[in-house]
Amino acid sequence: MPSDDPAGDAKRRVLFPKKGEKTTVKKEEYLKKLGKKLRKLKNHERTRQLEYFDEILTDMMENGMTEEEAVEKIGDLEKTAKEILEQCDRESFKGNDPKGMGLVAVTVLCGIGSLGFLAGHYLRSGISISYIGGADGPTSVFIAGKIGQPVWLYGMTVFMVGATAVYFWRKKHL
Amino acid sequence: MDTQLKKGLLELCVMARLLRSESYGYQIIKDLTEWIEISESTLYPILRRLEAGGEVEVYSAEYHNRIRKYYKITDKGRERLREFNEEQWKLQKILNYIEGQEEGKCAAF
Repeated sequence: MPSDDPAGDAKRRVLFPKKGEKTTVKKEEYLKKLGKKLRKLKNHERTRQLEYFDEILTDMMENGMTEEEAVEKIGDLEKTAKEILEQCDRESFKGNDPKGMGLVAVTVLCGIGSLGFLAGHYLRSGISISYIGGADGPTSVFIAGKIGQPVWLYGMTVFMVGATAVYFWRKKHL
Repeated sequence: MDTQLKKGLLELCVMARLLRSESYGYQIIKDLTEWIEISESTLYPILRRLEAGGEVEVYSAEYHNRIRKYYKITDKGRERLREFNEEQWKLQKILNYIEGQEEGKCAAF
């Protein structure tokens, strides 16, 4: 029975293959997915792995195989990724990042502190004046309201957010 | 073939292939398939190990508007192969033992 949405079907077949169903995957897609599975590796290691497979796939295609055949020869994505990760030594993996974690922690603390003060300030609904005292005694006018806000804390929070963002951006792109 | 044994042999096979001439990934697999089972995923870690061990050198060269990595055996690699080949008689003895044929004796199985 002919399908009324062959393009959609094709896409679904690739994204959600039924068990045993053959899917046609193109090289770029395969490499992209493989790259995702190799997230744990350090960037340069991951790049080298992908370059290697890209080269091999291209060579296979140049030597007569179709894109789909080449990808199929490399094998199941999960299995290939698993083999790659098993073969890499410890140094190839992204390690823990105490600096990064530290930055995030300080930023979060500053953020919480700032939010606390901001909430406290705005909930206090502006300036209010209250009387304390009675008819026969001293009367004091108590002005409550805009207590000094910790501008330094707000400034520091903004700075920390920026610094943390820069740190992780550099880590990813350099 | 026994997987562990194959692992050991593959490195030597790759070096032996490169002894004949420099080559690149796809070609190495194509040439070795005739002699031993080797997949695309297994070749790469072998090449990396050999490179790390100084037995093989990599260089990039342009081919049809793309970059290809070429591999070349080093003197250290040649030396390793030479040593292995000199000891092949030892290997043969072991193979005979596994087969149940110690020198002179008949197979016990």
